[in-house]
Amino acid sequence: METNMAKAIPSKRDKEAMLGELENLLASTFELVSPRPAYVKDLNRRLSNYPTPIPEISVPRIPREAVGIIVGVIGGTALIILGIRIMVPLIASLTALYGMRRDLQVEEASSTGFSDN
Amino acid sequence: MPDYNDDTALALAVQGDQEAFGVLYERYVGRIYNYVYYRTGNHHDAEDLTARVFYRAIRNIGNYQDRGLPLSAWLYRIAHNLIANWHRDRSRRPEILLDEGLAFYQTPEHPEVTLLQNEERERLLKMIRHLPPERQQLLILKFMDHLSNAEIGQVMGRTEGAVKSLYHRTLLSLRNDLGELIASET
Repeated sequence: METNMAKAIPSKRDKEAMLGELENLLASTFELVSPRPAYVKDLNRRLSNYPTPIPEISVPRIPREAVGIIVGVIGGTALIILGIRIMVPLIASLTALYGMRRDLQVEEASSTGFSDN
Repeated sequence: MPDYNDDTALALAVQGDQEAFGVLYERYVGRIYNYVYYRTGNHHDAEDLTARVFYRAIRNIGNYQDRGLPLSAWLYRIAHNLIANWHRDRSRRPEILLDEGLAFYQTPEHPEVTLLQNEERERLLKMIRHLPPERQQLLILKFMDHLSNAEIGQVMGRTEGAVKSLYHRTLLSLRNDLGELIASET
């Protein structure tokens, strides 16, 4: 029984031999075929008469990450400049208001007869 | 025809030199033709598709970018894509397949022996044509073009190990198919 089963199931060596035979069969199956010489010649003639495309000027490619960094830096700089441009007049206005308020307080104090001294 | 090596001919062809392209054409037309022939199964379509491969190549050679792969890999990829389109078109409009009897070669052996061998080859080729396109491509490049696994990997865009594994699986699958066929005949 065991010997029959052993015969029925191909061993590793048998499998390798079978694959080797198959490889030999495949090697003999794919034989080189030659295209018709007239066809080869005619296609060559047609290709040599084919208008040659002008090679495209290659534009250097910038990686997407680099584009992101450049856009980020420019955008960030613009935001900082914009922020400064908003902050400068605001600070100036606040300073002016503070000065005016201080002047008013001094005037009020002098008109009521009180002074800091 | 000048005797350029592949690199020189390619560099000149990229610049629009038609003579250099002609050198490449003569060097590769046979290989591409064989590849297309074994993928389509007849000379008529092999001629048509081989012409289309080289027309596409001449149109795009100006944009060719050297990625360290041989030119043949580029041409085989063009051929592979065109054959995939061809199979898709055929499946959309079914037609009666006029099988030319692939690989019927007249050898000086005894006629009966030749006939049996041819029958066996034809049977195997029919079986191969029912394999997925990638497996067909692998077998043709290996047995017709005698490329190594590494070279096949360059053409197919796979690693050498992946090609080796695919090749082994293809052999096992073919062996099983052949076994079933023999069992059904007996």
